[in-house]
Amino acid sequence: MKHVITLSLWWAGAWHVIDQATIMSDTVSATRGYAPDGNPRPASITCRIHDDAWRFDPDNEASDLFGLIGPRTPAVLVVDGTADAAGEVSAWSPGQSIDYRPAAAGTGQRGWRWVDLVVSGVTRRIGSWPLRLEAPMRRANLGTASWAYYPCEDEPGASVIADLVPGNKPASPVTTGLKLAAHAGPLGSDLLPEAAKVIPDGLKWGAPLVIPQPPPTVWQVSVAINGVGADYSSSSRWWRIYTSTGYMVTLYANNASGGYQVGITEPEGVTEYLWGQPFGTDNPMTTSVLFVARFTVGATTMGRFRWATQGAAGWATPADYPWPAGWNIGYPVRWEGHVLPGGGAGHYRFVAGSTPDLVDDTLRLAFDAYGGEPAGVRFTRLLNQAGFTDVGFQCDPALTQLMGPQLADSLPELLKECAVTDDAVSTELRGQVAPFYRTRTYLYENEYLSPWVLQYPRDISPPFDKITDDIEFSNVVRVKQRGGSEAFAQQTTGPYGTAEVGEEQADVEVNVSQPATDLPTLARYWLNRRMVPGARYPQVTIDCERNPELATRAAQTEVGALLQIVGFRPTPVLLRVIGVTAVTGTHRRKVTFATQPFPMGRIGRYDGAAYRYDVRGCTLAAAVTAAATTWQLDTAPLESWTTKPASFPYVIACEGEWLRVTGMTAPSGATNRQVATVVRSVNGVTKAHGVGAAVSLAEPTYYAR
Amino acid sequence: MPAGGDIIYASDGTLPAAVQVADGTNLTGINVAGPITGSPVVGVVFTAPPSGRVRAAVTGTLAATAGTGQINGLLAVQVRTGAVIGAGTLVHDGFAADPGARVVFIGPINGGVCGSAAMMVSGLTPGAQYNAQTVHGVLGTSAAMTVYNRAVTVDPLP
Repeated sequence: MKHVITLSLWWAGAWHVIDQATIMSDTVSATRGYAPDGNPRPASITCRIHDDAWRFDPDNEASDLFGLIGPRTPAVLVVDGTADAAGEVSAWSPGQSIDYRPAAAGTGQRGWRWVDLVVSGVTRRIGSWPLRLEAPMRRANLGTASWAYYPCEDEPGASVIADLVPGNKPASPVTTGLKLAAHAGPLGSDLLPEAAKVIPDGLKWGAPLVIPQPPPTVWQVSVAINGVGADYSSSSRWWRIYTSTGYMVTLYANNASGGYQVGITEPEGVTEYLWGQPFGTDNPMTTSVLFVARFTVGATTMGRFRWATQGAAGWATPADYPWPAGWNIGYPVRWEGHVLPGGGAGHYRFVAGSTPDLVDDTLRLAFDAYGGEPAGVRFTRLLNQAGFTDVGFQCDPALTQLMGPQLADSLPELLKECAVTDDAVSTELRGQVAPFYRTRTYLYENEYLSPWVLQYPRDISPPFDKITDDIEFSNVVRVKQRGGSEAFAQQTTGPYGTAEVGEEQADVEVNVSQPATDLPTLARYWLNRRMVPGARYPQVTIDCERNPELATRAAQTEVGALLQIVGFRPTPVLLRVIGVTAVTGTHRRKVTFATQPFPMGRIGRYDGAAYRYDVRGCTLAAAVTAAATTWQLDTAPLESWTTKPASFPYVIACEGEWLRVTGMTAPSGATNRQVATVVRSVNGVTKAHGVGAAVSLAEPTYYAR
Repeated sequence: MPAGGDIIYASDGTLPAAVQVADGTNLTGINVAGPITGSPVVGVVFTAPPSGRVRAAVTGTLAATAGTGQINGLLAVQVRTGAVIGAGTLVHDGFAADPGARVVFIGPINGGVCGSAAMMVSGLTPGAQYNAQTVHGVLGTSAAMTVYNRAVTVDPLP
C-alpha cells in the first residue's frame, strides 16, 4: 500500500505543502499524547526534506524563505489524508552528503543536501513558561477600559503604588507603616497592603487623578477588601474620594449594625449623609467584599451601590439611592485608600462612563478566583487569556469537575491542575497547532462504551510485551487539595493490599470546589485507578501493511481510546491509549499506541444488554471437580445471582476459569445458597476449585466518576 | 456512595427489606427497674444497608394496673451486633440513652398509654447482621405495670 505523505508549513499567511517527492527520509515519524511512562509530552514530527538549495534553512540569506520561516513555523504532517500531528518547527538543521558538489559547467550535481526538521507541539512552548499568571482580579480589571486602576499588588520594596493605566500617575503611600504585599486579600487577588499599626483613621494613601477630557458625566468605582480580622475599633472607612464639586464620597464596611454604606459629605464638610444596608450575613469581619458604586454627574444625581461577598452566588440586594435635589456630585479628582489594621484592600478602580458596567459577573467571578468553575471551562479560559483562541475540545466543558479558586501559579501548572482534577486527557490537536482537551465524560460516552477490539495475534504486530511489575501501582493514595486539606484511601486486603505487599503510596494534587465531599470520593477513585491487578502491556503496534483493514481506524484512534485485546490470554485485556506514535514510509506504516491497563474503562450502562451487576462476596459452598456442571454458591446478605430465564446465559469467573451460567436457583438458607448450572471452561481454562473459592462476574462493570 | 472505578454490585443502592415482629401477650405485674425482655422476647435480626443507617422503632401499650401511687414505665428498643437476639454489643440502648427510642408512661393507677417511638441508628457496618429487641421496666414505684401489644420494627435507610 502506497502512502501519501505531505508536510505542510505555514508562512506568509498561507499553508505550503512539502510533497512526498521532497520528503527525503525513509520514514517520517509523528507522536502525540503522553509518554509511555504516563508523563505529558508535546507532540512531535521529525522528517528530512530534500533541499539542494537549502531553501528551508532559515539562516540562508539566499533563500526566498529567508525571514519567512524559522522557529515556531507551524507545521502539520498528513498521511493518507489524515493528520498525524501538528506543531511548530523547533529545529531546522541543514546538512549535506560528504560528496556533495553543486552542478557546474560541464558537470552535474554530485551528492545531495537536505534540511532536517523537528516539529514540536505547542504544549512544548507553553510548558516552558515559568512566569506566574496575573491574579484573576488584575486580569479582569485590565480586560476592559479604566480611567485609573491601582491593583496595590506592588512588591514590598516598591516606593509607589502603581496605576496600571498608561499615562496615569502612581499613588504614593502617605503614611508610614503601610506594608506592601503583606495581606492575603480576596481569593482572586495577589498579596495586598496591610496596616502595621492602629491609628485613628487607619492607614491611608492616595493620588490625584488625571481627568479625562471632557470629564465624565457618569463614573464608576470598585474596590476589594479583606476585612477578616481587621481592627474596626477606630474606623470602618476603606475608601474616600474627593470630587470636582467639593463633595466627599466614602465607602464604609462596619462590623456593627451600620453594615455597608456610602457616605456623601457636602462641600461645606459638615454633614455626612449615609446610604447603605446592614450587612446581614455578609459580615465584613468574616469575609472579603467587592464594592462597586456608580454616580451620575448633574442635578438629578443618583448613586448605585452594590457589594458581593466572597463565594456568594451573586451581588447583594441592589441599592439605588436618590439624594437631595440640587446636589451635583461632580467627578472624582483625588482619592485616598484606607486600610484598617489587620485588613487588606486593593484593586481600586475608576471607570469613566457606564461602560463597562462593573456590576456584571466578569469582575465578581474574578474576585472569587473563579471558584466553582468547571475544569474544562477553566482550561479554555486560561488558554484564551494566554492568546490561544483555538482550543480543541471534546464534550461539553461545563460537564467537568468543579474546581476551587484559581491560585497563583504558572500557566502550565494551572492547565495541568485542570486536567488532573478532572482526570481528563490534555494533549494536542492532530491537525492544528492547538491544545486539545478530551473530557472524562466524553471518554465515558464515546470511547469506553465501544472499545476497539483487536484479535491477537492477527491484528497486533510485535513487540507486544507483557510485564508484571509495580509501575503505576499504589495501594495507598492521598488526594490533596491545592493549598488545603487532604483525603486518603487505602486497600488493606487482597493480594495487592497493604497487609500482603506493604504500602505503595501515591499523591494526587487536585483543586476541587467542595473538598469536604469531593476529596474522599476522589481518593477512592484514584485508588481504583492505581490498584490495577495483573500485567502491563506498554505498547500495541498496528502494522498497516500487514493489516491494511486496520489502517483507517488506527489513524483515527485518539489518546484516551480504549483497546480490547482478545486471544492473547484467556481473558480479554482492556488497555487505554495514552500516546500514539506513527512511523510512515512510502510503502510502510506502523502505528504504535502507548497503553496502560484500564479495566475500569468498562463502565456500566443501566439496562445495557452487555452490562450486569456483580455479586459481592460469592464463594463456592462445595468443592467442584474440573468437570462438574452443578455449583453451589453462597452469597453475602442482600446479594444473589439473577434467576430470571431471560437473563441467561451470563458468564461468571472462578480462579481464572470462566463459566457460562444457564440456570440458577433462588437463594435459600442462612447463606443465601444458590445452585448454578454451568458450562465449564468457556475461556479455555479448566481446573478444579475448592470450597471458599471466590466467584464473581467474569466481566464486571464499573462506576463512572 | 460508590466512587468512580468501583465495581457495580447488585446490592448497591438497594435497601434490604424492613423487618418487624409483634406480639400481643399481656405481660402483667411488672415491678422491676429492668431493662427486661419479658417472654416471649420480641426481637428481629436485620442486615445493615449500604448506608449503615436504620430506623429502629418500638410500639406498645403500657398500663398501671396494680398497686398505689404513680407509675413510671418504659418500653424501649435495644439494637445489638450479631444475628442472635439479645446477644452482641449494644449499639443503641433506647432504655438508657438520651435521646432513645422508647415509649414512656408516667401516670396513676388505671392510666395507660399506647404509643410508638423511633430513632435513627447510624454507623452500622453495611452488610453486617444486627438484632433489635424490646425491653421494658418500671422505675421507682410501688405500682405494677402491664405491657402488651409489643412490636419492634427496623427500616433500613438510604
